[in-house]
Amino acid sequence: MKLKETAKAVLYLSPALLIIGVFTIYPMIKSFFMSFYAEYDYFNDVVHRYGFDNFVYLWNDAVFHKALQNTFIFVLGVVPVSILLSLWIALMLNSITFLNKFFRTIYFIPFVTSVVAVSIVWRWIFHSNYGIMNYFLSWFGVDPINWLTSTEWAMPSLIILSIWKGLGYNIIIFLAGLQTIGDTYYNAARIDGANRWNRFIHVTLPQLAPTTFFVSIISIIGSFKVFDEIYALFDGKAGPSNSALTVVYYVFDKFYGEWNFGVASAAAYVLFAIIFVFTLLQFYVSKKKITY
Amino acid sequence: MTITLQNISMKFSNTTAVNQLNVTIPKGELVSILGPSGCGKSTTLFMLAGLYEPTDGAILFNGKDVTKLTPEKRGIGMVFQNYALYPHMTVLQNIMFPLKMHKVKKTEAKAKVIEMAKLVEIDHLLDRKPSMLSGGQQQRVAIARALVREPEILLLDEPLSNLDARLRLTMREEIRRIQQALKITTVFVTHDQEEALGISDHVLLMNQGELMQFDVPQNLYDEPNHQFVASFIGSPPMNYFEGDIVSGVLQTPFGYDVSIDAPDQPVQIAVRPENLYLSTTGISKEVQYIERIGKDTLAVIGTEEDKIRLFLKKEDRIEVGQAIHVQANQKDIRIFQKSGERIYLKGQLDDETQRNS
Repeated sequence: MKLKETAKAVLYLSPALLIIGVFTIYPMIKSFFMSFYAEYDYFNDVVHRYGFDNFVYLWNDAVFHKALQNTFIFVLGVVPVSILLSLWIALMLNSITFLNKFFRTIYFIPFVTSVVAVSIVWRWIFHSNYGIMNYFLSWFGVDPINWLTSTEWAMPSLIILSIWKGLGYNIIIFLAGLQTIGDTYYNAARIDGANRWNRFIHVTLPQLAPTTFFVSIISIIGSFKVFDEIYALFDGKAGPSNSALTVVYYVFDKFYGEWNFGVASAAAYVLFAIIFVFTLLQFYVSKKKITY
Repeated sequence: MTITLQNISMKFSNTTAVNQLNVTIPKGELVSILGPSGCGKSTTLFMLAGLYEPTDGAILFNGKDVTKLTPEKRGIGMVFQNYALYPHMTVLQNIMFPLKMHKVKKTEAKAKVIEMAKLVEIDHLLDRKPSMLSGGQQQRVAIARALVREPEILLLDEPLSNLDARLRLTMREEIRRIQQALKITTVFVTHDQEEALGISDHVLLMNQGELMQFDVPQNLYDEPNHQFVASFIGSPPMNYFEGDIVSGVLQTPFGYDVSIDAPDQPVQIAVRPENLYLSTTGISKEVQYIERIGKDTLAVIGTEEDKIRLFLKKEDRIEVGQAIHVQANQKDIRIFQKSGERIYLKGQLDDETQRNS
């Protein structure tokens, strides 16, 4: 009976397992081994020597250092702002009763729209001569900025686009979190003499902590993996003179551009290690802080 | 603090939850708001708290109009039905929260919290989180938090409904003890009449947003001013008999007539189960079944549609199926119009005027 049930379950799961196996599990294992290919003949798929050469290469590669630096700047630029902004918008959306479903949909649209389509629109917005961004800034007497074509503004452009794009998802998660906080807590806090700000600090924030934790993990992982936005925003390049080069773009470039599979895989595993450490750190902090 | 409600009404879009409520709650008393679910009792409490603003009327605390005052500024303590303890704070932090919000010094606040925790007997639990407490303990924490600022009014919204039967009795006595110790004006919402009649100085009985009767518990039971009150209060419920007023004389089914000062009409005659007794005269019915409830024996007589319940005396010996006569004394019958209003008999009217004077 038990065996039959299990066999049945495996049968139902097998199509999904097959796809995950071929496109996720196998590449993960393969690329792990690939990162140790020191001498590789890719015409005949023969490995002559295994070793840490690829990691040593990364250690010494200035371009990879640049990619790492850019990735950290990107994560630091996107995650905190995105969380604060989406929390704020979620609070606003939660307090309106009129057309609230409509507004929620509007904020969610960027998340479900294709990155390429969105990026094309943003390329126009960021255009130095005809872009609406520079037009808007001109009202405040700001001189036109070369958003996408200068090295110092490429990364900020990418960050602005990514914050805007990810907002909708975070807002929906925060809204769900806000709705789990019962009215009685707010009522009790009012009776206890807490004003609006104190109610936010002492009721909303602590009870939203598990949600905030989830959103921050998802955002950090997502931001470390940024690629599509760069590819679409800078027309298949990593910004002017690699100013928007991130680790995943570096992996992509090494793999498909230079056919340097070993280095690409090694870089992917370095990124994995970084994300892993950050996630562990977050779990450790949340265990200490979220205690109910 | 004396609480006065003047013509208080609360309307939610289409429904009127509370309609023209007028009542004065005396200082230092424990008053229950009692009624079936949806009668507007919690709404009334929330208006006292300031969580709802009445659509009409005024609320006075000691003669001062507080209708527009937000709950933060009313200086009241409140215990919620599900206690609403902050889950991320310890018991100590929970009780200290109102003091923190009013910027009381930390050492002073802590001393106050410990004093309050001792009063409600939870001083050994101060470091726990609410999730680690039993229902009764959470209840005590909620009461301590409500009382820690020494408010002049304590509001309790069905505070016992989440507790089991035995604990309910204990906490009921606890609430009464604490209320008596602090002499704090307390308003207590409940749908349980036993609770309300058991611990209150006065009971405010509501139905469909209207005040039915505001009285001491004994009068609510003995002298209901409306058929709704008579039916709602008491278990087993009131018995009803048909009667008729013909030219100033009430014809009862018990075989006697009573002179009455009311226009001719059919009426309902209500008698409590303990006021019916076996006799050789009166109403004749067949015994359906006999039931022991604790120390008492309850007999159910009549038909399935027209049940009459009465408590038997020790020496009464009757059997199921036996035809018996039941009788009620004139002083024990209560007369209601078909619309529900009470018609007072002569002696009863005297009591009524006496009570109101």
